[in-house]
Amino acid sequence: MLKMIGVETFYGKIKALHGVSLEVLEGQLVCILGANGAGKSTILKTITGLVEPEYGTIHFNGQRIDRMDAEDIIKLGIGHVPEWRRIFAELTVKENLQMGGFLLKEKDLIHERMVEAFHHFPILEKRKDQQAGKMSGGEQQMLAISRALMLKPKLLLLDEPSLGLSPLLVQDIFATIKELHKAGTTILLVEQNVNHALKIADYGYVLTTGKIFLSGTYEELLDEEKVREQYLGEGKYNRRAKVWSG
Amino acid sequence: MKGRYDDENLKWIPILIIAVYLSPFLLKSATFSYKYYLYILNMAGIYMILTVGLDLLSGFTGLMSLGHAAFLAIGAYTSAILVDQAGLPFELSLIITPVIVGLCGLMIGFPALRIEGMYLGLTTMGFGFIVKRLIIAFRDWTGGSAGLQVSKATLFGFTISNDWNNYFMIYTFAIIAIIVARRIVKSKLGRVFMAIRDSEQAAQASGINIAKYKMLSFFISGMFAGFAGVLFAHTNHFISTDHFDILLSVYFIVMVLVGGVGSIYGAVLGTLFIVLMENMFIPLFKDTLTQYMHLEAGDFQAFIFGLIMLLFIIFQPMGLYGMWLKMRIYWKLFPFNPRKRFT
Repeated sequence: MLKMIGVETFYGKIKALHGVSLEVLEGQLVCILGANGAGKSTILKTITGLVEPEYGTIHFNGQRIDRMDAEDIIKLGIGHVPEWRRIFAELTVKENLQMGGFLLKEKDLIHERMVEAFHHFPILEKRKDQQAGKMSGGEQQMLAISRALMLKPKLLLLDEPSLGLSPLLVQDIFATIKELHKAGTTILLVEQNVNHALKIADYGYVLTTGKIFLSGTYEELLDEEKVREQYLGEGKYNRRAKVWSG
Repeated sequence: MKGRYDDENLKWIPILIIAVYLSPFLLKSATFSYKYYLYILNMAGIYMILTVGLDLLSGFTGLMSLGHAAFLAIGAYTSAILVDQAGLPFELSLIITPVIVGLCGLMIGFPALRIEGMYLGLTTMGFGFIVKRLIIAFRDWTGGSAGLQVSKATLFGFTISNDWNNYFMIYTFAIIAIIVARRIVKSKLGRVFMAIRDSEQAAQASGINIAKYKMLSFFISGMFAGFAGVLFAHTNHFISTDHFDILLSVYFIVMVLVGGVGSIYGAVLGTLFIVLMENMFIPLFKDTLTQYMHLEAGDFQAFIFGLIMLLFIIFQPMGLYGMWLKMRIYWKLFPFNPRKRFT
């Protein structure tokens, strides 16, 4: 469904992605793992056209999208939930959802999708006339996700949905993501929360400083000692810590 | 579905409009120097049209502009040249000039696609300087720094000659401008502007072409300023570069801030407050204060406005309109006022 080949993205003169190639198949939930500054969010921004890649190609359903405007890419059916739940803080929940359906022309359709979103997240219906910025973190994340779902995207890009949420809320969010996936949405998820992410993912990529470092299924990645070392707190660094303490 | 203005109390609007049209008669019966007050109110009316447009740009789209005095100047000079030198009727200039100024706004909008915040303010300020020099440079048309005499406005054969007539013309247009701005804010376009202000990335991710809408915001704001410029030129009868000082742009920002960023009524209230302050209240206690402070007359106003802005930002970030909203809630809940809500 989505295919990136050798994508290199620059911020000014700084190279953020060093030739990233990855693939998302229809109906999959693919997860990109990586530490801070590894370029996870940059991958998503490059896909949606918020940043333009310098080299490489991106194909979506056989159509080349790496030189298109963000607007047109989103029209093709890619939904993007930006990092840090960037909602429209001073608009109400309802207006946020209306903005999510910006590209829809018919009012009835917007209303229909909104009812659907309220069905998904009943808490949003209770808060529908409240200013979005005054809601809790979890509610804001739900709003951000349902805003992206207003356009019924074929592929949903989720940028660290668990960022800054309490463990309980993280579980809720991941349960929602799983539900969405079961309902048939293809999802590309960027996460730091390795355990949760890999459990629900069909396939995972591990990113270090702008390069794909490893890829595989949940079991394959868990077996890799390097992943455990870097993200699960096992391996030589831990052993060294034991040496220091004792 | 809820209607567009359901959460607002609209029954006061006609009463307010009638009050606007009645107030010159009241002033006339109250004082002999009513013409002076009318002059001040006219000024406020013209600035209102401009600040409402500025609020659409700065308050709703989040793009700071310190170049609005320049837009006003372009509007004033364009209309003066079109009417007096090209011989166009005033009514036509009233339509053409705002469009021209709006296009100038588009030009300034280009850098705004890349620059944000403070730097955008400085860029637009630079635009203000350039416009001022250009007006002086084209002295064949503009009269250079000596200024330009402008003819009186004639609307459909009726010459608007004095402050009394000016008042009705200006406030009719001001009311139209406010209504138009309210419609914009409550429409899909207004929501797009606010979405861009709140988060550009999320707006882009929702499929909004932010370049297009930022430019559109500059265009609309420029149109409001151009409209104000036309009225300014034809009611003042004399324009020179001194009228469009860079400090005026700062005052416009102060007006929007004091009124409350991001509300149309706020911009109107702020403009009234600042203009009345400048012309009526500051002169009252100027002499007493200057005895102690050794300030020049011009510096004094800047000092007071600086102080007002500082106090408002610290104590009333929502501005005058926010104060009014708080007061309204206070009286609605009157005997049961939870104190914490009003801190």
